[in-house]
Amino acid sequence: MPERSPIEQLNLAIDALLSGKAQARLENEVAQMIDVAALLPALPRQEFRAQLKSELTKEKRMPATARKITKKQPAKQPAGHPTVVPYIAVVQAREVIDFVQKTFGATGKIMGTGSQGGIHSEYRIGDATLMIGGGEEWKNPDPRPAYLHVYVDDCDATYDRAMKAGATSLNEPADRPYGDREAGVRDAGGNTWWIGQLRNRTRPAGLRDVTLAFEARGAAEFIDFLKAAFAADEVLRHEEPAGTVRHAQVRVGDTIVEIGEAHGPWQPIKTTVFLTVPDCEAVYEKALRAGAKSVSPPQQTPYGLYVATVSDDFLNTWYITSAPPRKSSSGQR
Amino acid sequence: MKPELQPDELDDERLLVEAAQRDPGRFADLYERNFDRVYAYVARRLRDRSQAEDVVSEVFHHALANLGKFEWRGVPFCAWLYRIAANAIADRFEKRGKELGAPDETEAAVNDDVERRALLSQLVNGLPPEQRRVIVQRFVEQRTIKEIARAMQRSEGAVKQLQFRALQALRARMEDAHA
Repeated sequence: MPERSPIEQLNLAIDALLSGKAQARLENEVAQMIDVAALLPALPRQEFRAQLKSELTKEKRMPATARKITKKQPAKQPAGHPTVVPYIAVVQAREVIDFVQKTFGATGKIMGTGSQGGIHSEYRIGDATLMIGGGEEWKNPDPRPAYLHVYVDDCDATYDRAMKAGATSLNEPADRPYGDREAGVRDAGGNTWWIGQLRNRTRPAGLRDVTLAFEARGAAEFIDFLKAAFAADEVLRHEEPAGTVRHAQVRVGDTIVEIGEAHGPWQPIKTTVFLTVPDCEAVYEKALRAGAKSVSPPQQTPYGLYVATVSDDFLNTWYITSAPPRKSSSGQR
Repeated sequence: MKPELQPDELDDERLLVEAAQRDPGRFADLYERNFDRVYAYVARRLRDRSQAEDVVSEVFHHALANLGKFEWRGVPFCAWLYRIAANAIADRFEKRGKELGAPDETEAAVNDDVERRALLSQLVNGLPPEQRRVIVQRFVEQRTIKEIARAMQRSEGAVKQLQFRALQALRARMEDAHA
């Protein structure tokens, strides 16, 4: 049998180390490396380190008595949609609808034809809403898929259903060091779904069954934009030692979104967000001041909503919607 | 247990403690300086990651809340943190009705092991980004070579090579540090 290279020997020895099996005889150099490797599984998670620092920082800045007073209350939300709803617009809209029904048991319906000739549909997965539009009849298609993080009771069973429903596997179900079981798939419309099953912890407050995620180039700047444009509130931020945002959660109105710095295969994509706010005009103006570009100013739509559209510097388009302003009031609902 | 610090390091630490006692906003400096040691101290006693994180979190929250009571006596700040950690671990195990196997080790041996683990944590953070990602994903997140290769869009062979180089570098730097 040909002798294994030190690289292969080391990898096999690491496999044995991580699975608790006995080590084969190793060359001296590899044996010394394994001595070091044996300490590595006990290293801290950088996310934990950053999160604890962030907690301590908040504790220092805000004594308990002050915290009660200064804590931001979620903005009042018009009845109906959560503040943030992903608007998936792809030519394969019907395949995506079939996928979310079969995989996540989504319920909803196709509501009709959208402004550009495609379908418009709304589906619910648990306490989250998704809008799915497009289809083959969509004129001038400009695909808008999304990164989505969905919490389920059984990751493996959901992953199996996703694969049967025609998804492509990105990550098979595996236990993650933070305790969750997680898998990743991509549907026919190009949407990425992270399927998470919580273990030994409860879901962080404010996260819905489906959470929209952004892989942003310049995640820290994107968070600043969300704060300035939509009065977003940072819930947590885990940074790499160099200061890059690895994972952050930001609350917009009553909904939390996830943000990370784009890396490797997780690159920014054009995503559309349907934002429901108390005052479309005020938020539109604020978004422009924060650097967004106007696609269309606030206007009354045939379906009864007041809608403005803006785009940001991070490839996202935002439909800012509210009920039409009351003529007799100051604009506050 | 008292980690060994040079006199100038002790002076620095005293200034940091005094600054944090005047302004709790400066506690971040003490946190950064001591996190790796405290984590290493706790993780060698508690193998379960979530338990270790709970205790480390408790140690720093307790230290911050009680910083005003801390009196500088020329002993590294870390020794106080270790004492809080030891109490937290004892509390936890007593609460669960389990006995924590008392390790048959000298204080010096425990100290060496904690310092070695803390140093390794810092060395991993200093690796080139791709090597660091492989080490973190392989050992901390316990992903397979196949999963890492897919996530990094590299071949499995390339990932194994990065893993090899990273461990080679870590071993060499650990040796240098102990030379």
